[in-house]
Amino acid sequence: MDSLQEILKWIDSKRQYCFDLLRMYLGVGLMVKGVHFIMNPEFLHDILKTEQLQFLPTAIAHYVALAHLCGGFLLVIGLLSRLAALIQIPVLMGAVFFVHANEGLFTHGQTLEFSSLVLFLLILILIHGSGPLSADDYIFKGSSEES
Amino acid sequence: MIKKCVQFCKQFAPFCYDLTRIYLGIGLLVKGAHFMTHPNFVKIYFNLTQYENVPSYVIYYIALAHLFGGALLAIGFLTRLAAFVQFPILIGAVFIIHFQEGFFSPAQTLEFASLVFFMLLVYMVYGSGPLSVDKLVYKKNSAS
Repeated sequence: MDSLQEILKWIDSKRQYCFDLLRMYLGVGLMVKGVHFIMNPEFLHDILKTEQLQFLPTAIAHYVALAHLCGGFLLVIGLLSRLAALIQIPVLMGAVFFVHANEGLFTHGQTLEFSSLVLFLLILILIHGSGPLSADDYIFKGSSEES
Repeated sequence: MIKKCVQFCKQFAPFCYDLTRIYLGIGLLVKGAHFMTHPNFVKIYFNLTQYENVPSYVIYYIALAHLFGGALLAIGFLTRLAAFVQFPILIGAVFIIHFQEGFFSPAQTLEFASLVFFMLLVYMVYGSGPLSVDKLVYKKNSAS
């Protein structure tokens, strides 16, 4: 029992990294998603085609892929985290409210749940910024602001 | 202007970790309630795998663990335990149910399950933050 207490205390001392871990995981996921979108443009095109977005689907597709790729990478290393989250929020807004909203909740694919979870996490990262385990913290240690 | 916005955001920064937990808890609670009322919904997941004749207590464990674990996560009471009881379900969801679909399916089910899996892992390790019942109850002890 004593050692369990010690382990818990040690974990507690590393508590400031927990939000950074979430940010990194999300960043890796979004970056991989961006790479996938770039390698398989027709995948993204199929998603956009099911929508009423007749205007500029190619431009949107390019923005989505690049925002995920660059934004995801920035989130992983924690450089300009707020900006990285901000550029991806419109993409997730589109995913939640235009692409997956008509599928609704409680489908077997759970696509709406997934995109709203990612949207919520991105909004929190926009509020929180990057924590102690990030390039921001390393570079802007002297000044209190990041972006 | 931007500096003011950032400054305004920063005062909410300590609660972000807890807000994530609350969101996740509500999501899992709703999921559990949905599974409770639609047990066949869970069975369809198992029908896609080799475990077709899954006993009904497994399904009720899944539903109850999500229901109560989600509620505990949302209020932040016994957070580590709440994450722990749901952990096996997400292992099952990732490695048994959605693994065969693979990454990059249009529905992104494996990505979703692994994201929830990872988040539960983080909460299992770190417990809850300042915005939780744990903090209120166990203020004197450091552990939850």
